[in-house]
Amino acid sequence: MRLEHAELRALLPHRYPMLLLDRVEAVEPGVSLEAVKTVTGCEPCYRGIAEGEPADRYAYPASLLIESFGQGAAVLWLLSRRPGTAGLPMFTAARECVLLRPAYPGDVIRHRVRLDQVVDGAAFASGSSWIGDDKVAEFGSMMAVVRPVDAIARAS
Amino acid sequence: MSEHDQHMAELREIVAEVLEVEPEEVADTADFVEEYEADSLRAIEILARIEKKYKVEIPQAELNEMRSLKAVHEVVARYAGWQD
Amino acid sequence: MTAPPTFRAGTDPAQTYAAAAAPLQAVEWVEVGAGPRGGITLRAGVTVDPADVYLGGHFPQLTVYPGVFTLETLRQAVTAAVGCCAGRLPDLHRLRSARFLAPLLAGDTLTVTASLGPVADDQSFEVTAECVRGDGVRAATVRAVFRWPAPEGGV
Repeated sequence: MRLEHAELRALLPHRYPMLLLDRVEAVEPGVSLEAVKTVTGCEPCYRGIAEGEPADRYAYPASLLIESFGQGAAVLWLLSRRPGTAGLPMFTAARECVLLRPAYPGDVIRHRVRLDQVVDGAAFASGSSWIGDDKVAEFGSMMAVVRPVDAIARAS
Repeated sequence: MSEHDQHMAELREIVAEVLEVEPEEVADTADFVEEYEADSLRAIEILARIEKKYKVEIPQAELNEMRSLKAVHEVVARYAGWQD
Repeated sequence: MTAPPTFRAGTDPAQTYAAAAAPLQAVEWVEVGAGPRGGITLRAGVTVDPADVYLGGHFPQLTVYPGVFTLETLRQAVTAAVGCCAGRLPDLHRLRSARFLAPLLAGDTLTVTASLGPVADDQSFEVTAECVRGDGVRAATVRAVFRWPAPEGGV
């Protein structure tokens, strides 16, 4: 099964420029998924770099790479949840994630995500991210829950 | 080491890792919430790690019981069929 | 083998934002002090601005400061505090543990208190951070390793 961008928009509440997946190339719902994120120089994270900074400053932010992987995990999980359980996915914990090398504009990042467990409404995922044959990141464990919008607003 | 001690040592390690304390800081009967400021998500994380390690399924209703290392051991022993 | 670098005063938050790709300026102010064993401590803060371009997409129906932006705040605070080494900025290398405990919504302030260092031979240093919301509620805890990459950008 493959999911195009329109289907990702239907599944995830994230929107431009925070919807950080382009396509899901393969998914076994509730088990594993491979998702693609293309880094481009016209993403807003590149808008504020001062003129004349060297090439290494164009590394894709680690925060957005982790978010992109997390959205892959969210898609995998949401596909296996019964419909009608509305709410926002909240990233609640991460453990042992290693960033091995940076990504740059033009790179195509492939996230290989496994859904390890779903316990009491909390999902645990792990996996890795690749550019070609190079592993760029490892994710030991990422934990997320889905919370209704009004519950999040009340917790603040 | 007896089977009971072995299981307690393994569970202590899991609990310590999730609560981010040293294993020797986890007393057998110390309440996770009162002693270590654990929240409900940490309890879920402990449950998830135990299920993964021992390949058991523990009903979520037991989460409320699992408030100390000793209580965790009792619950897991019941569902994993441990004789200790 | 040259001696490992030591911490020195870095740049201000606006310069840190402009020095590298970043989704937003995630730090408004930063204060740096001396820590044990040649390390340093820092405090930094930011207010969640719903007009930010990324936050507009997270989410349209309710602005929630993403957990990864708390990591971005920490990254920019660390960078502002320690500055460059051989022309390279420090980056997040290993996230040992991150926990996001309470949501940060539009107008909420986030204050990060972190201890850094000392610097190891491979130019890495440990960072332990606690993040508190304006009302005093603990919003996140992070344990991570930051590293100045080798000049050739190798692993």
